[in-house]
Amino acid sequence: MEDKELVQKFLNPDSRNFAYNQLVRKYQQKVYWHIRKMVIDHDDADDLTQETFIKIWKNLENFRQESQLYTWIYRIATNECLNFLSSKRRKFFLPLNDVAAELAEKIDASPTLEGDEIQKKLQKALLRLPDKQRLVFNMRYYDDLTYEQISDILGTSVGALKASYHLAAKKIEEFLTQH
Amino acid sequence: MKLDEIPKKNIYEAPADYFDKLPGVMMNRVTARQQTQEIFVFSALPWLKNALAGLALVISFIFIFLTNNSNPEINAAGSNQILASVSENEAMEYLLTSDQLDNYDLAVLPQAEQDFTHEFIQASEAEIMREVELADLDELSY
Repeated sequence: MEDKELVQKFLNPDSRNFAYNQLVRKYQQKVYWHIRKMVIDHDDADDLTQETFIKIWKNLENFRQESQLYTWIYRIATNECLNFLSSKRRKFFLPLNDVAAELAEKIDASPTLEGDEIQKKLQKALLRLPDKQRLVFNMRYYDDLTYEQISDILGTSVGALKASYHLAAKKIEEFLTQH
Repeated sequence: MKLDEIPKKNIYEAPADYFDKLPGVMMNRVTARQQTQEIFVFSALPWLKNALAGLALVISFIFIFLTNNSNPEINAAGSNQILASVSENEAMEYLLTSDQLDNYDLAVLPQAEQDFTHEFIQASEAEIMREVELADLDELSY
């Protein structure tokens, strides 16, 4: 079902539940993996994914179709991730590096990670990036979003996003070379 | 090492059937939210009814008060008419049987006919004046 049709069906009380169910089925994987790459832990990712879909339920009525539905959904998921990570730092008075170290430990300890050493090393390199730069890298590298789409989601200019991505790639390559 | 040399791969795994269950989980959550909202509105309904009934009562009292006091002259005239329709015997009966005279009774007393005292005070005016002059002034109180 097309996004426009989904929204129209959601706005009709009689077909709201059906449309919402279809929307969750359509976007659950994109939302979950977007969040999971940011917070690493499955339980945290599950909580944030559910919160994202609850917010979609609460706010879809007010969604003005000036932007694409999936960029709007990505924006909600992105905000959930950023708020989660910053509240984690505030809660435990942790600087950026300590949160990265904690998440890196989760990568080492998780039995469900199926990657080889170089893949784990890439994830640890990513954790050294600031949150927003990591988001930009993930959306461009893993999700294959265009800079224009990422610009819609983050509200950052395309030029700034290109610079951010290339800087991130450079930092990652340096880390991989050194470790 | 260059990024291009590393195969692009998602190394994280979700639990098996996670994506089969998630739509159901979300539907349960939003349905529960809807029911909670409906229960809140439904449970607030009796309270709302009582509040509206109370409000209607207060508005009625205010309306009655304002309409009854909108023209004091008409009200005073109405009171005089009512008082005039009460016979002297009935008025005496009321005054003798009521335990206390309140301010209202005292206020309307001058409006009544002045000569009714002759009927229940069995004394002449001269006798009354003599009694008044002999009365001890210290016993008078305000």
